[in-house]
Amino acid sequence: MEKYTLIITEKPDAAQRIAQALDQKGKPEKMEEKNVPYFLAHRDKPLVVVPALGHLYTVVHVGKGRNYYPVFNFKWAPRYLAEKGAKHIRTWIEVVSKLAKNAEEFVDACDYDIEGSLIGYCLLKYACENKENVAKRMKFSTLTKKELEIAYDEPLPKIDFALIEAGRTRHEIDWLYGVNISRALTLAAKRWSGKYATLSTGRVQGPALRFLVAREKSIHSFVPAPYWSIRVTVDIEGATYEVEYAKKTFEKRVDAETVVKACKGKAGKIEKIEKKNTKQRPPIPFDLGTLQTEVYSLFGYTPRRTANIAERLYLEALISYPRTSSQKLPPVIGYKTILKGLSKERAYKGLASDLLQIGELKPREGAKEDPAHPAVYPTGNLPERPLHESERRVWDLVVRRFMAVFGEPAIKQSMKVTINVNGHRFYLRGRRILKKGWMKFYKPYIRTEEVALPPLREGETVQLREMLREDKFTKPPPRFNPSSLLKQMEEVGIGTKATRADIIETLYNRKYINEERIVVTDLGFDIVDVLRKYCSGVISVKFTRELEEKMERIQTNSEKRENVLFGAVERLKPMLEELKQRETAIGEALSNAIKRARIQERIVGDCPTCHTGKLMILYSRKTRKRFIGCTNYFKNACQTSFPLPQRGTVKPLHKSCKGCGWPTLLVKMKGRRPWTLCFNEKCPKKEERRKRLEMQSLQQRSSK
Amino acid sequence: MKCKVCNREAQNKYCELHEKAYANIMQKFETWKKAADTSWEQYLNDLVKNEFTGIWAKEVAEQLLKDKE
Repeated sequence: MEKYTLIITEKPDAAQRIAQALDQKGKPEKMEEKNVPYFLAHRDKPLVVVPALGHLYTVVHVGKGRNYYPVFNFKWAPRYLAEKGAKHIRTWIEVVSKLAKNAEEFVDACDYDIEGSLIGYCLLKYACENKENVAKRMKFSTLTKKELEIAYDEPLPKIDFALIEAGRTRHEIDWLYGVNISRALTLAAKRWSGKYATLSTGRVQGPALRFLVAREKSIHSFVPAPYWSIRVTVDIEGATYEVEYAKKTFEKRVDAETVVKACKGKAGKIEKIEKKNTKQRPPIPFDLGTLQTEVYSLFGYTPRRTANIAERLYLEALISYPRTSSQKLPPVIGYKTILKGLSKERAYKGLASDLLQIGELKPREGAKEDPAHPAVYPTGNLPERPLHESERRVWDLVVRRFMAVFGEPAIKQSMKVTINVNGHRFYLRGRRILKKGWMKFYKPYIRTEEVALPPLREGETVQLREMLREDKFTKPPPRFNPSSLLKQMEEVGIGTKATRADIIETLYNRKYINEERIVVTDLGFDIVDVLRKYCSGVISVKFTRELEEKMERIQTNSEKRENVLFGAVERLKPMLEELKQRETAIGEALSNAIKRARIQERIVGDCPTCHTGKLMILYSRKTRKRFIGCTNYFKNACQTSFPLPQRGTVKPLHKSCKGCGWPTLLVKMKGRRPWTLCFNEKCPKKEERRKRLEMQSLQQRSSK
Repeated sequence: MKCKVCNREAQNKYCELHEKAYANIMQKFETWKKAADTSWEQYLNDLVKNEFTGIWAKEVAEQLLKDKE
């Protein structure tokens, strides 16, 4: 076979798109070897475009066995050596190695960031046998044909070693902390109880869990304080409006009562009408964090889900690279070309043409920068296939946000009408939008409500209609949700844009937290407690942030990888010694926490018979069959029990049945769709269903 | 010493978690007294019933009511 240039990409979809863009005819030949796809393309010379499958190499322990710590010896090795279920990685690497043998030039076309650069580097170094020093680098932010062609024709002469060093260090330090402390916790619990349970923590996972525990503690120990407010409505021209008292809250009940007494049933006189116009500037372009936050608040998608959707849209060349910290849109991306592309879509035609009429387009930008990529923007390409609802929503949001940043400021008018009632002042407030400006582009996603007021004159009399004293209490701090936790992690500088969403998912998977409005489990509490007592460094936000900063300095060549690694290991050693010395106490605490967590997992809900016990999934000692029983059974106080399906898995849903209000379970069986089980035999919904089925069978019989 | 509420290790009457809730209860009483002239017992009863009171604070309030009995 003729010699060729081997182009390495991060994922198969990206390989296909790059091959299509670079092939002279736009029709590369798809090949496959041992289920590994690659593409043959022709440009100035033959090209072979082969994808990775994310990270094919990882950090592994040099040495045998898993049941000990500390471990400081590591090396980079194929993932199949370290992970169960990664066997396909072996064939993947073999295919890349085979293709590398006939290649005369190498190009790294993985995503241009820490992770992408590291993926490319590992393949070039290990699978292609030390080609990392001869390879060129394609740098691009979108998978559009034009940008890919430029990136190929004008590549960077070398791969970005500083970025790779930073990536390697991050993976190595994360491995050192993750493996050692997780092993210490798991082994302590195992040695105490004799039972194995995976317990993990990490350099970023620990501090993130600590935020949650701190919030949970303030919620649990919260004591509300009373306060009062006054709710008043007025009638104007047949319509009712809510007005507010000049003082929004009262700390003493008697003060609120005095005002109510003085004003109830009285008429008021309009004393003053004030109007104020304010300019609202357009929003700033999306970086990954702000995109995730906006999507969560609009559609309720978790940060992880948004990142996955954005990744798919990027691979389809619909939006630019989403893992960016930038809030800047440089002119080089070609604002007008993008808008012309978007104008081909009916929904954006009018909006895009409005912007295209502006002579010079200038986006409003945020402060954050990213040396590798601009903010997230639409490429101007239109979907080649019908998008799923979630994809369409995110794409539409990115498109509209992009257009909005070029819009003019919106002008809002707020109106404040002061009403004097028996010497007390009340305010009637209205607001409306005088000029939409950027809002017309972002219309579906704007959450301000207009309150139109009728024409009013100073000196006019209005009648108070309703006047109530409202008893209120201060509320505990709000729980974190995945989006606000991500924002918090970003603000304090722990984790990276690529890892934060995954870390939150890990906390859920390890059962340290549950629910959307995050609740920390007992296990989560105990993990933080143990870490705080015996190795507080690993949950220290300050320490984690300092380490992040040092790793970032490696990217700019102002810090050496060896120094950062050495410092991290020196910090880790005493923590591990402490953990080892206190292994028994830690084992006991964790084992008890695991036991409590396992019991908690089996609790279905409150007992509907005795109302004091809890219904729980139990196993018969005689038959080993599972059933639901009340915890008061063990006190001889309640005999309530219900049968359960014996096949598949059953899991408490912690949701009440809509028919009878009893707790429900989720049942999963092989080959069937999971279903919700209400175990109340007298549930009205079951009765309804039975009648419906009877009616259907009667109808079928009569039609025969 | 064991916590009066949950039996965890404690330095005084309460463990670290319930101690914080106890401190909050003591601190907020003045506010309640000034706001609505609430008595200590009424205050504790109100806390037990209030939906915004944290679970540890409720447990301590219940314990304080029991102690009074």
